[in-house]
Amino acid sequence: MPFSEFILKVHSRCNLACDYCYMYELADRRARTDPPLMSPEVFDHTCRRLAEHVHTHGLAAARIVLHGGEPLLAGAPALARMAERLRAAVSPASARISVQTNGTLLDERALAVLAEAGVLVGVSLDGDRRSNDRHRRYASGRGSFDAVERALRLLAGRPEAYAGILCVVDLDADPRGTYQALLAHRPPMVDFLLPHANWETPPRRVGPAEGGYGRWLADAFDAWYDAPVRLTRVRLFEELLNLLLGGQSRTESVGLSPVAAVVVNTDGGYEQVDTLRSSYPGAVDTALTVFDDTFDDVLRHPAVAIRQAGVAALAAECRRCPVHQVCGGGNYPHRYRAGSFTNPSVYCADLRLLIAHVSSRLRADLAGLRGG
Amino acid sequence: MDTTEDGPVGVLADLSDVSLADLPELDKSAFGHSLRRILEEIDRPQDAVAGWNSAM
Repeated sequence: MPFSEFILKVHSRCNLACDYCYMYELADRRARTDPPLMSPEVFDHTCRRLAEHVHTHGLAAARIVLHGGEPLLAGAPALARMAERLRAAVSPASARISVQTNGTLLDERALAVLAEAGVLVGVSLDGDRRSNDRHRRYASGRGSFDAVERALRLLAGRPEAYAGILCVVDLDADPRGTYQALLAHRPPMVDFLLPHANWETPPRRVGPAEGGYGRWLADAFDAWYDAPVRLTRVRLFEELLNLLLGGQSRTESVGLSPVAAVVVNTDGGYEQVDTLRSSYPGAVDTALTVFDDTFDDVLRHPAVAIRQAGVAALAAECRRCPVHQVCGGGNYPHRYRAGSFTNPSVYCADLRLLIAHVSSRLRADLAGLRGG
Repeated sequence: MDTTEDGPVGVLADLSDVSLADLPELDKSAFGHSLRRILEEIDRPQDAVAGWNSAM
């Protein structure tokens, strides 16, 4: 399957120092020595490779994410110019171009420039001030909440440019309160992400029993699901519901759908999805570059191909588990242990708990529908 | 969720006798949206691709 989602690392540095950052704080910290900016030469080659791939495979659309580090360190006008070049490169295919930002540099002028260029803006925020500032801080220790809140207020007034909010789960935060805090910013979509962890570096647990993250997400699910009118979309929950109804997933967090995403680093290197940096140094490497290699060459890389292998990529114990069609083994980086990703997720117990909860809620509602 | 020695079973929901006609016209709940999505996917099947989850 050709790539359809292209993540361009346009600026590798960040003005925040979040303690869970997979680019700077976990197993692979080489982002510290990457070129800060994607050079014009790398960007030109990326556009050429992108056009080649989209046109060779006859793709109708490409999703392109301008990412970092913090992409807005490159400046909104530069991102807008990139968007224009990228659209021209993939034409006549359409390009959905977005930027994922920490929000601290998103002022009125920057937002206007991005909106004018048709660039969607996703923001990272971990709930209310206390929850967000526990992890999402400047190097000085100062929290980022005030700056992000200002950005989200601006975005709420520009719904055409508002992609949504990413929130990392924190067991010290109240799940319902976190959902409500996010909802206050009127996002069209939210996603809850589990903190990156694996069997070598397990997630922090609170209390003696496993499943804390599953219970947290189940509570957040109820807060979302019980509203008589859906107030926002929640990607993880919607994909779980679709999987439980026999459909397919459109997120790599759950399900067995093939992953068709690839990263171009600031230095022009092709990389696997960057969250793998949480597992071990070099986990994202392909040894291929936009200067010498095509996106099709990357597709043939064994570590990329395995992400499109569905159930065949799962550990034997996962294949025996009847939940695997729904969890899909969980997010790939979370399966890492001793040099291998062929393991259950370190969040297996949490995913089973969450899936059982969502399933019971769904089946109760279906029974009510039939009854009435 | 039911459980056997091999673990939990039966998490998938049974949609065999559900149709869009069962949904109230104005059902805008998360449940209603989910049912509409799956029934539309059944009518117009497409191969799904898993999107990268570090961006919205």
